[in-house]
Amino acid sequence: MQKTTHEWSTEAFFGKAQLYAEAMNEHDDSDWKFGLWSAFALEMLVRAAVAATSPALVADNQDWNNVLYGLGKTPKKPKFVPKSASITELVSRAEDLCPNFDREHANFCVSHFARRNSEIHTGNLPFDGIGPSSWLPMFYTVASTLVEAIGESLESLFGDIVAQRAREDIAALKDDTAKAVRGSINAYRLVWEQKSEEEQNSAREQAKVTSLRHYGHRVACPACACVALINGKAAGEARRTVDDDGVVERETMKPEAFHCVACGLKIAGYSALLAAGLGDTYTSTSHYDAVEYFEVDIEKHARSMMEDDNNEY
Amino acid sequence: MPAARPLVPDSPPHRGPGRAAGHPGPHFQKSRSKAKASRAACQVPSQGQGLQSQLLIDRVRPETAPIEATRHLLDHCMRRDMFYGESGSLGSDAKARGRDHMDLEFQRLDEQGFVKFSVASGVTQTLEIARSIGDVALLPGIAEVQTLTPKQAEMTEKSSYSGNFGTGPFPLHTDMAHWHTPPRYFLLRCVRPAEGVYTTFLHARKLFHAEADDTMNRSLFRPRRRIDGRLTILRLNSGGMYRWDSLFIQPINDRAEALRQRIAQRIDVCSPLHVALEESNECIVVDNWKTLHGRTAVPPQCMSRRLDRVYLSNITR
Repeated sequence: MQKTTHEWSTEAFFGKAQLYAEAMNEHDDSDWKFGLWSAFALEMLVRAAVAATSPALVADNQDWNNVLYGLGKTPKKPKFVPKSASITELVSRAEDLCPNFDREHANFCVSHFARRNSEIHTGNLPFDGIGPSSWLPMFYTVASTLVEAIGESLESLFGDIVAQRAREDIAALKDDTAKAVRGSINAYRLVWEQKSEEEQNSAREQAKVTSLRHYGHRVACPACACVALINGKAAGEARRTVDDDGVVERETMKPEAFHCVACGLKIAGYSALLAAGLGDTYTSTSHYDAVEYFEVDIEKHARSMMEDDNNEY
Repeated sequence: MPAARPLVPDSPPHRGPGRAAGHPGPHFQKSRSKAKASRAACQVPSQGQGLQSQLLIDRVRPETAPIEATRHLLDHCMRRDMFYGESGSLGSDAKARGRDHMDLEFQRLDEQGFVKFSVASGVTQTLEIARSIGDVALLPGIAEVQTLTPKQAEMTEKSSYSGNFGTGPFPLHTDMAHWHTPPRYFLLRCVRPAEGVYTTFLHARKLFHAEADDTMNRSLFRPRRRIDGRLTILRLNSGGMYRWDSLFIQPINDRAEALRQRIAQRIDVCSPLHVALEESNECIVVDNWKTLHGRTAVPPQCMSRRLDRVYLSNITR
């Protein structure tokens, strides 16, 4: 029997990581709040991983009473307030304690926590405007390593849907063959640069005309910088809102294919798009008429209003 | 030594509250013939001398493979007079029958979540009974043996069920659900019965079996109030330990709130078992990690009802 769990226990830290992960996923991955909550969740995971060996290892070792507290003892020191080690110190401890948590993971954690510190201690906006593809796959990779170290899973941290996406991101990050796409981009860039200005302008105009939002998400081509299109697949549930004009459905889309009409560059697969710097998710917005969306049969409704009342059947 | 009083059911256990009004009905009536049969076999050697409780478990159901956790209790019960011949030695047939009987009942504790039994009237100390079936748990700030009596809500602090529900029905809950690790078992012993007041039981799996593991794992709750200055996260199922309390734990995320509502709806329509402690010395052992329990309303004429409760950390001693 135990009234409470130790506030530095793996279980307590992981519970908070779950809460923060939930708060994180309430936002689009391009939202700054998504980034900030991800940093909070990551910090709890690092602490949970260290505490898995012993909560005493979470303690700030400058005062041995903290270690005592970590061991579940009550220090005799008057007015004692337990203090845990700084997160950078804990990242360093995690590197020693968790077998698969390496220097690359530690470096990512330190840089992510630096962004968090900048967010909450300065007037800077470090999470605003950074594409999630630049950090999210690595975030998922580190999170995966840490949850594994404490006997949990990405599913228990994020839920099945986000965990599936996380695994795809992790796989894409590990896909070395996808990095060959950078060579293709350079090749197309060379060809583009060898075209005359007139040819370039013509192709640029053609790309503008053909690459409409209706057909996909518009981005700048990494080879020629002209307008190009990305198509993707839904990554999560659609969010619906109803306004005066009808129903608006927004879905976060994960890139799957890229095509530039101007220079002809084509890239297929998320791994390759991620390596090309085109891995950011985008939002697909669809507008529906309410009648169309809810499949209301207006004619049937009108007919029923015109018929005589009859209570015989 | 007084005779043992085996209890066997004369009918299937009552489900639902309908029987409570008008016809409380003994769900576990005494079997006089068995009482006679065991009367002659009261010379229990060794540990039985000090204890003298005859744990005679009611309601036999054919099962196999006793759970490990109940083996020691089984062994202890095997020393009881009902399984001994007049000479004090255990006949092989009687032993086999007794072992079967006890095996079955404690399998039932695992499956049903509680077992009712009776002790001889000579046993006066609830603590004796508790110690005979397991390790008594020492809970901080709580007496080893707690006396439970009906109380008016206004006479009791709001930190208790009586302070919130008074003599009305107690909703189904697990004891100490707001603790990180609630006590595993508890023993209820009837000291003064009250006709028409029932203890209600519902196995936790009936509430939770429809929930996905992901839901259970990511639905986060917390105690209503700080405990020792802390609020830490609780899950309704953790390592096979279920908890539920509609009052003392609160959801802290949307998933938990939705789960809370589903559970409340299931409790509203469920039919818990109603078990009466009708005579002094009738007892119930409850697996608090698997079973929710409650109490029906206490009519004015039943205010003298009195139960002893002892928490047990295990039943393996």
